[in-house]
Amino acid sequence: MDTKLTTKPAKEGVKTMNQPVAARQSVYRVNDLNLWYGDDHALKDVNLDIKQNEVTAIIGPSGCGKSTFIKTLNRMVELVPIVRTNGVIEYHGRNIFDKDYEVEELRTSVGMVFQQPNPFPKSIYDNIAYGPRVHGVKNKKILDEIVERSLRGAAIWDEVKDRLNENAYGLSGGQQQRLCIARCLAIEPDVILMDEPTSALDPISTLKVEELVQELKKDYSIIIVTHNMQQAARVSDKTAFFLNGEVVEFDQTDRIFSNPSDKRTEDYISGRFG
Amino acid sequence: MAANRTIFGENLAVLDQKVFLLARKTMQQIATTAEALEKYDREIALKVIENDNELDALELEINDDAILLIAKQQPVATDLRRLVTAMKIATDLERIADYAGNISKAVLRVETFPYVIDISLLKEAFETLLDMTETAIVAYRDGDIEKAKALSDLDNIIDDTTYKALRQYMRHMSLQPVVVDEIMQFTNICRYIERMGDHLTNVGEHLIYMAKGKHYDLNS
Repeated sequence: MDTKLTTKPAKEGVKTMNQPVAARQSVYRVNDLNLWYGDDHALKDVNLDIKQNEVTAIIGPSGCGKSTFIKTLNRMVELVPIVRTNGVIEYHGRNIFDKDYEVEELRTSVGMVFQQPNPFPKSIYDNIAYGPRVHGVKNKKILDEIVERSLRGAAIWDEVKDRLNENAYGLSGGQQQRLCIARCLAIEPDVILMDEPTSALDPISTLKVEELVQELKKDYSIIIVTHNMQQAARVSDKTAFFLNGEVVEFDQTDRIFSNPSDKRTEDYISGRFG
Repeated sequence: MAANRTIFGENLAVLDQKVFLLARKTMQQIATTAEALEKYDREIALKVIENDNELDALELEINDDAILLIAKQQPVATDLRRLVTAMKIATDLERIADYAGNISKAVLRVETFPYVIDISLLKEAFETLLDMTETAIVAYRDGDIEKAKALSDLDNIIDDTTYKALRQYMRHMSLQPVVVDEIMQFTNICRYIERMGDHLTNVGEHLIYMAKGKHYDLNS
């Protein structure tokens, strides 16, 4: 008998926890994306393929470019005057940097949730109805439906249904954040970008938002930037590890957190630096 | 970038030391039970049985430490595998030590000395077993995959030796049915030694899993 190592074959029918679904469609294809703030080279040759109905987590230490990256996906980063980019970001096959690309159209399909909940100083109802109204929805009945559907979608309906006309500032931080997610859902986006959506929330609200993310991926594609590595491990299907503006590793989350291929990823996720 | 988690690193090192200690104690138990058999020394056999409690307690301590570290430090990747591996190795070592105790109990059940049969093959198997334990300890200490793989070869030698011994004793039984009770003790010892080898091979598998994050079957 020799001692040649053979991996134990997986038993038939045994599935890993996050079984990848074969051949999901790509939402975003990022090819050789580079970005500079003046002379500062913030993103270097980033290549990522982001799939539909998946949660993609972006992790990495402060200043690694993860927020810059996510803001590039809806071209919000261009609000910084000294920004320069090259490379291609295809959103459903079209390069969002094309001259004739309508940025408003992009931002209608790609909603965003930020670190600090930022409701408008209006009623709960008006927060949600704001987007649809801007898009021309005037019918009260339709607006009512959108408000209810969005608040239900963000798992906050039961908590606010009896006080829709109260000011949104009266809600707790966790509720405000879910309200912002509901506001995002009201315009029926395709992608939701979340930039550290739970870093200002208490642990219970954090878990609620995490559960919500799991729910939402049935209908949306979600890209979430997080400092909380356990959160990335809990909620995402794929994880990209950014370091100094580069993607060090991009793989199934199960693999990243159990057996990453790059030593730097291992050091970061096990808290050895960052 | 500054290195973090030095305290967690220290905790892991302490846990490793406990696993080494358990491995050393297990090896000691194997050597002592072999001595009890060879010399037919009932005092030594009793000592092996008594010592087993200490090893059981150490195994529980390793499990408690590992569970506490998992709860408090939320380890991932290699750190997590290292903790789980420590627990699994401790379990295997504890089983091996149990078998060492069983062998001493078998010695206590033997009534005639000099023995009715030749135990040279058992002595040989014990030597390989001690060699195997030492190899496992070094593989763990150095994270040496080649040594972990080598455990499988040593286990094959033990399998062969114990099988030969077993055949010899069976023949003896058929020739002298009067001493069947005596010889049964020695056939049991064969089986215990063979099982100890299997558990050490498991240790090798755990070590490879810790290093590579993949499962390998060395017991085939």
